[in-house]
Formats: sequence, C-alpha cells, structure tokens
Amino acid sequence: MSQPLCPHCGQPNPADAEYCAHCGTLLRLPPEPEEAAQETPPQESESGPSEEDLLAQQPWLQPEELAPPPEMEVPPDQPWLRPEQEEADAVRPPRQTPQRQLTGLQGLLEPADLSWAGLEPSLATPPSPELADPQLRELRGAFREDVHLADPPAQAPGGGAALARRPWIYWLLLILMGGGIFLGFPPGQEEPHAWPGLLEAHAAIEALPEESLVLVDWSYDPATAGEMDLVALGVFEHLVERRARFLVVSQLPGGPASARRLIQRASGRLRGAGIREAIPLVSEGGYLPGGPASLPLLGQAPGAGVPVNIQGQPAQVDPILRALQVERPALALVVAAQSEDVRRWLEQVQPLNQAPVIAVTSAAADPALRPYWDSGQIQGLVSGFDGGIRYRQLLNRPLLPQEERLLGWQLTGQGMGFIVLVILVILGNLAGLLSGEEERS
Amino acid sequence: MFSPNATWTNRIGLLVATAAALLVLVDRSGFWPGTRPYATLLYGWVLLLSGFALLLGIANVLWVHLWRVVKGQEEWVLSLLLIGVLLAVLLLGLLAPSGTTSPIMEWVFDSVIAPSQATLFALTAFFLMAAAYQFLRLSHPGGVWILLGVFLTLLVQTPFTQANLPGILVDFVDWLLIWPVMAALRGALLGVGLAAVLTGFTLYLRHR
Repeated sequence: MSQPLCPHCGQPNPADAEYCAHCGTLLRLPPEPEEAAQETPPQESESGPSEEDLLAQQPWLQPEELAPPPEMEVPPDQPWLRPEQEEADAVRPPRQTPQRQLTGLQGLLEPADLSWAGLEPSLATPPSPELADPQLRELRGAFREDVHLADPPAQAPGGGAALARRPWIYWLLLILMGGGIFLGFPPGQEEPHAWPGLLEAHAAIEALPEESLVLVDWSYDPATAGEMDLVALGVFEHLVERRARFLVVSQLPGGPASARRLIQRASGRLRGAGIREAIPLVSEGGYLPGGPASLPLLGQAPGAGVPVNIQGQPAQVDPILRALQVERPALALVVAAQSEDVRRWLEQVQPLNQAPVIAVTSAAADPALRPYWDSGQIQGLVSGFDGGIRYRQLLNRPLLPQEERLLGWQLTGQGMGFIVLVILVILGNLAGLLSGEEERS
Repeated sequence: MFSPNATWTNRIGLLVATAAALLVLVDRSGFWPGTRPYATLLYGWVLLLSGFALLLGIANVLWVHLWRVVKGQEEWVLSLLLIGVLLAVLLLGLLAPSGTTSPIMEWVFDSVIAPSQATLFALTAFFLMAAAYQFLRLSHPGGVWILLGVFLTLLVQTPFTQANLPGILVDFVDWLLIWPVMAALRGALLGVGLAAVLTGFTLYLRHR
C-alpha cells in the first residue's frame, strides 16, 4: 500500500490518514485546476507582471530591485539545486516576481524577499499532495525534528557564526568592566531616580493592615538574581516588617528556592536592624507547572491550585493556605525579570481575584510595563537598580558596608557595559563604512 | 461537522477541545456564573496534566540518553553523566526527609544550579556585545530607527546616564513608550490572539 507523503514535511503517512502524523498538515487533495485558476490574480501572467507595469503601479520601487535574482552556483552538498533536479520537482509553482506593496522607515516595512533563496512560499496556491521544494522541506524538517549537533557552517560571512570570531570584543568588555570596577568608574549614583510607581508601591504596602494576605508570583531564578535580588530585597523587607502573610508560588523550577533565600535574607536584615519580631509569615506553594494555562486557577481558587505547601502540609495544617480558601488576597506581588510574566498575571489572574498588583521587575521589563502602570492596572512598579536602591532608602535603613560595595560594583559594571556598547556601535558603523558595506534588503 | 475520514479518536479529541474551550469562554465572559466550578475543575486538570507532561519529559530525556549510551553513540559519556546526575538529584529529593528543602538539595541549588544559571546568563552579555557590533549599523534596513530606539531606551534606563539627562528627554521617551510603542505592541498582541482564534476555528472546520 502506498504511503502518501506530507506536502509540508515530506514524511510518509498511512494511506487512510487525513492528517500528517508528524506535523498535522491536512493530507487532502488540492482544489480542481479551475478553482486554483480563479484564485490567481488575473493581471499576472505566468511569468509575472512586467518591470514597466510594476514600476508604473509602484513608483517607489527601484529598477535594480526588480532585477531577476543572480544565477547561483550549485554547492556540491545541495544536489537538489541542480537544474535537472529542479525539473524533477515540477510540482513547484512558478516563481513569481517579488512585489513590494509597502515601503518606508528605511525599509523596515518592506516584506522579506526570499526569492533569492528559492524559498518563496506558494501562498496563492493550495497545498500539493506531492513533494514540494526539497529545500523548503528540509527547512521545515529542521524546525520539526530534534536539534542536530552537527558541525557549524564553515562560511557564514556576517552571520551568527561570525559573532564568535571576534574575541577582541570579549576582551574589550572584560577589560573595561573589570577596570571600571577596580578603579570605581563610573561612580555609583548618589541619588537614584524614583520612577513613577515606586512611591505608590511603597505606600500600598505601608497601608496594608497587619497579617494581610499577599499572593506572590515569583518569576525569576538565579539567572537574573544579580539584578532582581537587589530590586526585590527592599520590598520583601517591607512586607516582613508589615507582618504580611504571603503565599509564594513560582512557574520556574528554580523560583521557590530563590524566593526562600531572598525572604530569609530580608528577615535577617530586619533582625540585624533590631527588629526582633521579623519572622516571615510565609507559605511556600512551590513550583506550579502549566505556564499561563495554570494561572487562572490562582485567581479563581488559589486553594485548589495550591492544596499543599512545599513541605507537603495541607491547608488544615498550614494557616496561610487555610486562609486562602476563605479570603481574597489583599495584594498580589509579581516579582518578574520579564514583562510577559506580569502581563500574563494581569490578563489571567487579576481579573479573577481583583487583587491590586504591585510589579517588581528588572529594568529591561520596565518600559513594556510602564503603560500598565499609567492605565492603573498596576498599583505600583519597582524596577531596576534605581528602583531597588530608592525603595530601600524609603525604608530608612542604611546599607551594610558589604552591600554598599556590592551595589557599587553592580552599578559600575552596568555603566561600563553601556560605555562598551556605545564604543562597539561606533566601531561597527565605522567598519561597515570603511568596508563599503551595502545596504541590505 | 466531521470529515468522513476522521478517526473516532480525532472526533473525541475535537469534541473535548471544543467543550473545554466553550466552557472557559463562557466562564471568563461572566454570563453564566454556574460554570465557575466546572471551569475551576478544568484549570485543576491543566495543572495535573502539566505535571504529568513534565514527568513524561523526564522519561523521554532518560530514554533518549540511555539509548545513546547503549548504542555507544558519539559523546555517550556526556549522556551517561546526565543520567547519573538526573537520577542522583531525583533520588536525593525523594529520599531526603524534608524533600526539596533538605540541606543536600539546598547545597545542590547553591553550589550547582545557581552558579550555572548565573554564569550562562552572564555569557549573553558577550553575545549581545558582538551582535551590537555586527548588526546595529546605520546602513542596515531600519538601522537609524533601531539605533535611535536602543540609545534612547538605554540612556533613560541606565542609572549612570539617566542622572545627567534633561527631564524633557526622559519625558519624551516615556511618551514614546506609553503611546506609539505600546500601541504597536498591543496591536501585535491583538493580532496574534485573533489569528490564534481564527486558526483554531479553521482547524475545527477542516479548512486551510
């Protein structure tokens, strides 16, 4: 019995299969030729519109852009590009002359032109039940199958592999950042900027009654802890000081352990500052699998989402879990290195439990979250080194000497990184200019 | 509704997916509060299924690497190391009295997981710098706009530079982010959402 090949990935399938067992593509017959002919725009001939027609319809196109792609040399390892093989693949639709409908913003709005690689998708034609272009098939297969740990391409001028061939960039970064930290340049900021949302976050936590229930979504792990610990530490000091009861859940496997360390550090700092009753009232909900799909459960019925704590104690034993079954959280705290985690919480949880949200995020996430603060969906926003330092200043507790030194290193490293970036961008543009690099399209 | 060629498993799968989608849709719209307990049940199932999928993933990793070791494929020693570490951490977590919070697991986290993750993430700085050298060029398509965006955002976000910037520039970047940039982002998100819904319907209706 013949096994029909998938038009999308090229894999064989059972004769009676309606969908491809590998990629899910529909394995049905294409429409009749009359239907396909009806879908083809009438003004285009088989060879596509003429250059004059295109220029008349779209005067912003440059004549050189309409030139046919140059003849390619057939590499020995890509036999499917040989002319005889191309003829064998006769089912391939006729190549269409690239048409650009929109331009502007220095080419940002122009659609990508893949004709030079022979990869143009046949959008105007229905999927064929027979084999499509082998190169296209190989590309699809590469996305579907396991990653091949083959040797990297030998020649990739200007591509990703070329990035690894510039060790001087790494040395520049290391020397300038290391030197900056050693010499203390640029100096740390004396008065960090208080971005809008920071004072409001402080005020919201300050206004919490004692033993308020706070739901914490912990969305960072050790990878980003260098920045995020600094941002979150002040906020958790404040929460412990206000004797809030919080349940911590995380959608990252390394999240619960990171949270445990930071909360212990916050309460340790408070006890060091003479606040003896600074014992965190915390219940660890642990790791919550499922990604965004599991978040609505936290908003709708957190007790069902976290039936036991990380030690396996049920709600009958854990007072915070028990409280969550009968009362709504007074506050939700989303501690995230990426803006998507905060956005998901605002979409999937906040509409269900109506708890005000305070976001504690990295500086990178701040720009994307700023509009949510402006629209009122976030009640407070603490972000980046600035936010972390400023929040701790609001608590009126001076930094320990080692903390101050570490902070200085972090700020210096960040500042020097910025300087290196500026240098590299200038050097890169100069290199492009000197080598006569043409504009890519 | 169904194609005559559809297998009974396909039909059941489609019916279950449709029922779940409709239930969640009705629940989130708030038109019928009676659906709430059932939607909560479904969300709970998501959690269970995700946990099960995680276990399946672990089993798959074990199987793939066991096979590599048995077949003696290239770099099978690394596969053996992976299996050994996986089993060791799994057993430590399962056998320790306090589970994932036991001292040995805390040691694994502090001494292996945390430094590894932080190191790997720090390496992205080198890659980003090399990429900035290679691709942040005025001659590239949109290069002027991309560079402008990069520098404006970095200038405002870096404490070292932000402290010396005029307030009007900070306000301008703020305005850019709140209005045009966020409008574009939300437009894209909305487009993706609508496309996902339409693709879902298309799949149900068997049209491509």
